Amino acid sequence: MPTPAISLSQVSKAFRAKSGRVQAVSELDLEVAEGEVLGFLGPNGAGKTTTIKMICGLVLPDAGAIRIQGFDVRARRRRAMDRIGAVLEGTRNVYWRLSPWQNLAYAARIKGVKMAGARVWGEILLKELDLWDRRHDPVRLFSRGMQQKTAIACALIHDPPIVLLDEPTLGLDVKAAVTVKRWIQALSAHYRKTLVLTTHQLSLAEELCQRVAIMREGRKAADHAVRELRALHHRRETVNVTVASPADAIRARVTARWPDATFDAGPETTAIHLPVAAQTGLADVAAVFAAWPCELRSLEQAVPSLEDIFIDVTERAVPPDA
Amino acid sequence: MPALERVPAAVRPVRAIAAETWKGVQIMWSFKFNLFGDVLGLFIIFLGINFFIGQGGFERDTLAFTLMGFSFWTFASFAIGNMSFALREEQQQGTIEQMCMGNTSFASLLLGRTLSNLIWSALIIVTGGGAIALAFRLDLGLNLSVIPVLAISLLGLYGLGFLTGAATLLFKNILSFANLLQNVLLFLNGAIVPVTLFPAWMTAVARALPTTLGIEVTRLITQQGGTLQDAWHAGLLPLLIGHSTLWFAAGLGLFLLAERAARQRGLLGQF
Repeated sequence: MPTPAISLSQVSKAFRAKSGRVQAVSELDLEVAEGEVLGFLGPNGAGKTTTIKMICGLVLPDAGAIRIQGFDVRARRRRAMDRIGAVLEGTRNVYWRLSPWQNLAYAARIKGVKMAGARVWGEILLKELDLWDRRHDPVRLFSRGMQQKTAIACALIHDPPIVLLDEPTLGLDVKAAVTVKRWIQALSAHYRKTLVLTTHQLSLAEELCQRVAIMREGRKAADHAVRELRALHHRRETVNVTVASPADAIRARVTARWPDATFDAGPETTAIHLPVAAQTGLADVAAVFAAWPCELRSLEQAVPSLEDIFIDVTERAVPPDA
Repeated sequence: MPALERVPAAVRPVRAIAAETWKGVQIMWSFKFNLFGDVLGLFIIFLGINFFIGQGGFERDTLAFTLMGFSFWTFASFAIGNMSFALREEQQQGTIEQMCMGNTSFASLLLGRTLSNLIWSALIIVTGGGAIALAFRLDLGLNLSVIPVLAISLLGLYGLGFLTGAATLLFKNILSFANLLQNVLLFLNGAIVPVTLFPAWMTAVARALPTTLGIEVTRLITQQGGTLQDAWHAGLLPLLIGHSTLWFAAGLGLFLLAERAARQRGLLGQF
């Protein structure tokens, strides 16, 4: 069995706070395979950033073991750190008084990379991130997006096989977010990096990640491939029915059968959203409507979005994987 | 994608220290106009103190005497500032976390930061002190024997810097204490008044601090016509070496413990 890129085994971490002991992460098991792109999701305070910082060796776990390509982060931190590049959330990550080129040279030196290769690789990174023409300007003069791209370049200057990105598009405008998103896709597809991505933008996770792990109150509440996760959440499936307006004649019948149904009445058609049971097929719904006094225009099954699943998982009393 | 070669593990700490030093110099150079303000501010304080000591005038002997001690205090003040205010700023900004994710120890990197701080403070002292010495035609009695004494004294002083750094990593409200320490050192290290004039208990406290012994040995060499041998035979130089080594070892040791505690408590990032 191949060694996972990242492996967390029964990892727990608590912090002292004025209000008492706060359990940030509890008995977390997580593995990320080589080349995989994992979306690490959860509401604020769920333990995502603490976990990311434990993987980076910046926070020591109280219990459990973390291994990076087989190297224990506590016992062999420097070997493990050789294999990781990280852009942490809400922080500067780079020196604003220095230029991207100076930041890259500094990062390469403290990460033990020979400068000849670092210059060539640094040039490639800055060109791909559209920073080459401004490589000698101080980072403090840059837009938030350019600063973030500089941080990404610095995190990659030692060509780590594993890249951790904590909220990489937070605070970026649309254009900068698209550039960063494309670059993340390239890191996976072109450079074959293992990626762990934390984000509150679920559409980003849905687009980029093969698998998502959802944290809630320090515990892993779900961990599946995106497609599998959808399959596990049948109960949130919805059938969208369109009938000719007015639909008043059937409103009472619909709500009697599906009390949570919602109506969007338009001048010509009315859309009815029916939360249906897991095994209910479109044919069953069509048969019901065919018997009622209405003109059925269309029927379609709506697959739950990652956002629907996220809300479902993080608000549910018992996690599905528990 | 070029093949990236790694430097041998044995060379990495030295290279990282050099990188940190160079980065520090580059950042300080980006604030180069502050150099003028720093020099002016420090030496206005120096001249102001001497003006009051001289009861409304300047005495060249007193100026030469206090300039030496004031220069040591300037090194101390910058060392404490570097390991408290500057470290806290980086702690809050997040760049410390990137430093701690390298494959070189955090302490090695801070040693590099200390070297860049030494370069910067030396520039300020040479510029400001030199201007005062020229303006008042002071005979400072400088000779090459001062260099090893200064180097040994700075070792102890940077031990105090590491100690301040350890406290900064762990305690939220340390900055006011660091500010107090900077000011107390000016009056306790014998820069203005020789420690021999202090009450006995205060002399003991003053001599326990870094820079006090260094100032005494430097004054023996520069202003009392002594040599390194004289300082050695008087027992001052061995005491200075032992004292500085102890301060540095204690400072570094406590810093390493504090770094571990900071990782345990998640304090390397934003406070």
